[in-house]
Amino acid sequence: MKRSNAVRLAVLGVGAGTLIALEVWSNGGEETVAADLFGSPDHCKSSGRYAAGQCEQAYADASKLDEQKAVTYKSREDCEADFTPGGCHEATAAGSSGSSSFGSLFVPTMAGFLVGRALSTSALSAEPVYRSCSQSTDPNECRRSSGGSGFSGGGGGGGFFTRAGYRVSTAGTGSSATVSSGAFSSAPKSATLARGGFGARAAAVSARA
Amino acid sequence: MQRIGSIERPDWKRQATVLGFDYNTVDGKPYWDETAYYRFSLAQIETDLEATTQELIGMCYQAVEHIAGSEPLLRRFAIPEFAWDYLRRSWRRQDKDLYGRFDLRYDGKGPPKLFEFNADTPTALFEAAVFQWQWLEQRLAAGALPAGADQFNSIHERLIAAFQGLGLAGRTLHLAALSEHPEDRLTVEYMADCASQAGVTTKLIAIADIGVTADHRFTDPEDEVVAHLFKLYPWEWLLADPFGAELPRDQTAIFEPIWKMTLSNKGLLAVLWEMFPDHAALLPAYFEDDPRAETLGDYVRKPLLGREGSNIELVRRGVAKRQPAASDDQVYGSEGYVRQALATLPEFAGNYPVIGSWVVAGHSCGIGIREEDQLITSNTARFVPHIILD
Repeated sequence: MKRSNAVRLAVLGVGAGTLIALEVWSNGGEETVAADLFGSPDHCKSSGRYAAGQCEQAYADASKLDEQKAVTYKSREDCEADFTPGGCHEATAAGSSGSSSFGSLFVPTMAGFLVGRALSTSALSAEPVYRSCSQSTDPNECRRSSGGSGFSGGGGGGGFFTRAGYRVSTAGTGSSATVSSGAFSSAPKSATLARGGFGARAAAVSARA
Repeated sequence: MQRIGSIERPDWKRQATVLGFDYNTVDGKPYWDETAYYRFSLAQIETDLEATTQELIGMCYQAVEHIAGSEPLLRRFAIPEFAWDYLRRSWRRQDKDLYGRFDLRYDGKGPPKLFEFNADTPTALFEAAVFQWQWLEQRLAAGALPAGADQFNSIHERLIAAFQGLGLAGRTLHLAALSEHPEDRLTVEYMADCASQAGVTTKLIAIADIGVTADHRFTDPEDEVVAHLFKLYPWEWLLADPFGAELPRDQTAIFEPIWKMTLSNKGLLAVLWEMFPDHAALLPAYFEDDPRAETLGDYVRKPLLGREGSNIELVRRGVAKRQPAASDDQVYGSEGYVRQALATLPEFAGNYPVIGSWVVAGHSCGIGIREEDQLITSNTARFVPHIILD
């Protein structure tokens, strides 16, 4: 016999198997912790919140983590569209993949760093942060006022985000900030920084061949 | 090989709908068409179609080796350079492929001729593997077909075996497609069904829902890491998309693997002809800028990355007849063209069938026939079942 002996379907035909609906990823409902947001080691030291050595160490730690960048882009334009005008730079081989075969890749530039503790009992940790206008309430105003990768400025509701995509809330005074407690876990479990990077070519087209 | 008129099962539409095969009728015209079937002899199936398909897939694997090792060919195939190392790595470590469909010209007399190989995102799978099989079983049971009629179609069993061969039992395979397209959706749902029967946990997602993490892993909408991914989305689109640069980091096992790009490209036709000149199953084919392309006489001009007959031109005595871009307004061709000697489709009472010959995990295992009332098969072709009967 040249045909299947039996064709049984486990799932199809019983009303299951529909594609998972689009969901917007958010940090909603997660536990937050208090932290401090700084643009530079000096900014940290002048705040009086930490010892000079702690500030230097936090900055060094954050810079090292910055090398383990979350997203890479093939063009500066694409990167800046997601972050801020002037807020991206070309990745060096060491900072991206270690391979020279990628051609140019662009990554967001670290805008500052976050100092805090995942739990009140745990050690001081640092995380690099990036400035993005993509989720702001007024992206155009945000981009106009952001002026590069610098720390200050921030009209239009742009915000700071960690590598893993956690938004840093800066509603308080001075350097005080709050962020999801997950932002300081040593290995962000699989927090998604960006979505929607596939499927662009085919908004109304089938992939069939 | 004959085309035989037949009476439809009264309830086939209901059966199709229950199974999710709801594109059985498109714009009021039948896509699934059981008002006729094709009848083959066992020798036609085994000697011509099954054996030739097995030979073709072997030739294709040799072609991958050749193309992957040739930078001029990778460039000519318009495969982006940042993906070359990844492609070669994928081929050398023998990343497994699941399936592909050769489109063949066959008239029942002599060896079939290869039109093209849908190696990356072949569809029309469910109707070949399942609905065609059910048609045969039900017509046999109803006495509407001669007892002993068979079908070249072990696609379903081969797919389950192929998933068993991946060693993913107990692990999760994500399956992604463009969720808005019924045919794409049914194809991944069917693939998921086969995978689940092989003990694999499956999760269906929309291709646009894939996310990326800080450590360069892909995630699903629930932030679960996508370790194994079946994607019904062409590799050249994946690489061109914003997340394309993440792919060479090689953090996800993807099916079909990236090396299939060397086979889904129409440039394959020119490479095969170069490697296996005058092979009985091949039509002469050259890249358009190859001087030998001028020697072809009547030919078909195919974009390297075309799909579904879009932008294909049929040139006879220097006069071009163009297949307009498909209804979805897709335009192909910026990456270049191949020219393939024209072999007109055989005609059966005003119908022009193309044989879609399936390969699953390297095994020739079944056919599905799509017929048109014109010479270029497009995405409006009708799927017509077949039987084997000596």
